Amino acid sequence: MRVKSIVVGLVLASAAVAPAIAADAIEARQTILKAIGDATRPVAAMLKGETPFEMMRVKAALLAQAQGADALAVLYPDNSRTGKTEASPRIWAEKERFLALYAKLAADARAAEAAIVDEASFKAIFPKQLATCKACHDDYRVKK
Amino acid sequence: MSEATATTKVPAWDLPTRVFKWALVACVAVGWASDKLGGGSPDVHVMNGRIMLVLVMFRILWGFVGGSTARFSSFVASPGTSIAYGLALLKGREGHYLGHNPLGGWMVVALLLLCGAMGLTGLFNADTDRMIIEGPLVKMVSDATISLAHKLHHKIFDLLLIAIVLHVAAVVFHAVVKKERLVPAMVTGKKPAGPYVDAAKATPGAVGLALACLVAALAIVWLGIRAAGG
Repeated sequence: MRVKSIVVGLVLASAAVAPAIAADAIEARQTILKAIGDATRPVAAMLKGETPFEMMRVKAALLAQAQGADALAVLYPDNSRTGKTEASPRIWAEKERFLALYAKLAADARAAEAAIVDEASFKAIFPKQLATCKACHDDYRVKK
Repeated sequence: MSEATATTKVPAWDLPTRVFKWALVACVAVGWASDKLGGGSPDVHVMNGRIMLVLVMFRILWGFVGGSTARFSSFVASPGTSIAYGLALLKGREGHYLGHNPLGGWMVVALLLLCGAMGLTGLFNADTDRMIIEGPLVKMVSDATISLAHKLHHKIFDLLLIAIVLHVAAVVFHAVVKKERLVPAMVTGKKPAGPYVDAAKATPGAVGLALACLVAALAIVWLGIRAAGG
């Protein structure tokens, strides 16, 4: 767990250094999105009952989502539309709505961190996070 | 209007056919809504997909043993008949049908195929990261197959939307231009008596037989998915 947090932290730190060129922004957001995915994956398995409930992993996933979403919000400069990216052009056409989804992911993750106290509250609350992931991927991620 | 209410009505659609029809409408609506709005409860979408397959399977069985107007043999017309009907329709000289007219019959076939294809591709579909939603047979196939199912599921939905728009447009056309109100007929099961080309009145299918078809459809879908490893 600690190793994962450090990795996430390093990623966020490197992302904070504003990317000068488009390729950096694309790479930085891919790294963060992957970190969010890696932290969320075991929790999604818990949700499906494939693995036993572990509060530590839930909190780690929520932390990755909250901090990741904050960092991602600045990683879509105009010059990063094209390249090796699954980011849809719609992101730049609907920037406000797109960024609102990251804001929602982060705010909900912080609220969930406090509200999730046991397995029952986890099963009730965590699916909303996945719903936000899906809402954004449906509209703004182009499958290559 | 007073003329219409005075007209005697004849049976056109039996109860199972009507219940199926509106259940399918609801199933398509829930399928869309549970994907678009229900990202937090993927189970609803997956269960809805199974129900979609059951409905389509039921309708296929009912198309062989159901009421006279529900049978494929009564409404699936040859291409020649369908084209002739379409041309006559353009000239306003088409025959009137108690059941599906030749073009409407093909729309039924198209809608059933598209709904069935939605259900089938959904079995193998999952979100890109396979974290949020997974069809019951995702574990049995390769990533490439899931990817293909994903693409098809979306493309087929677009086709289904087009078919639904055409279908509704045709119903509106019949109501407004032809003064034939098809929606009330699909609700009450009755149409005004008239010189119909296909039959003067319909023979309903037995409700018991419909229940047997439903049980068979449930068994085929549930056991089929289980046999396939889901």
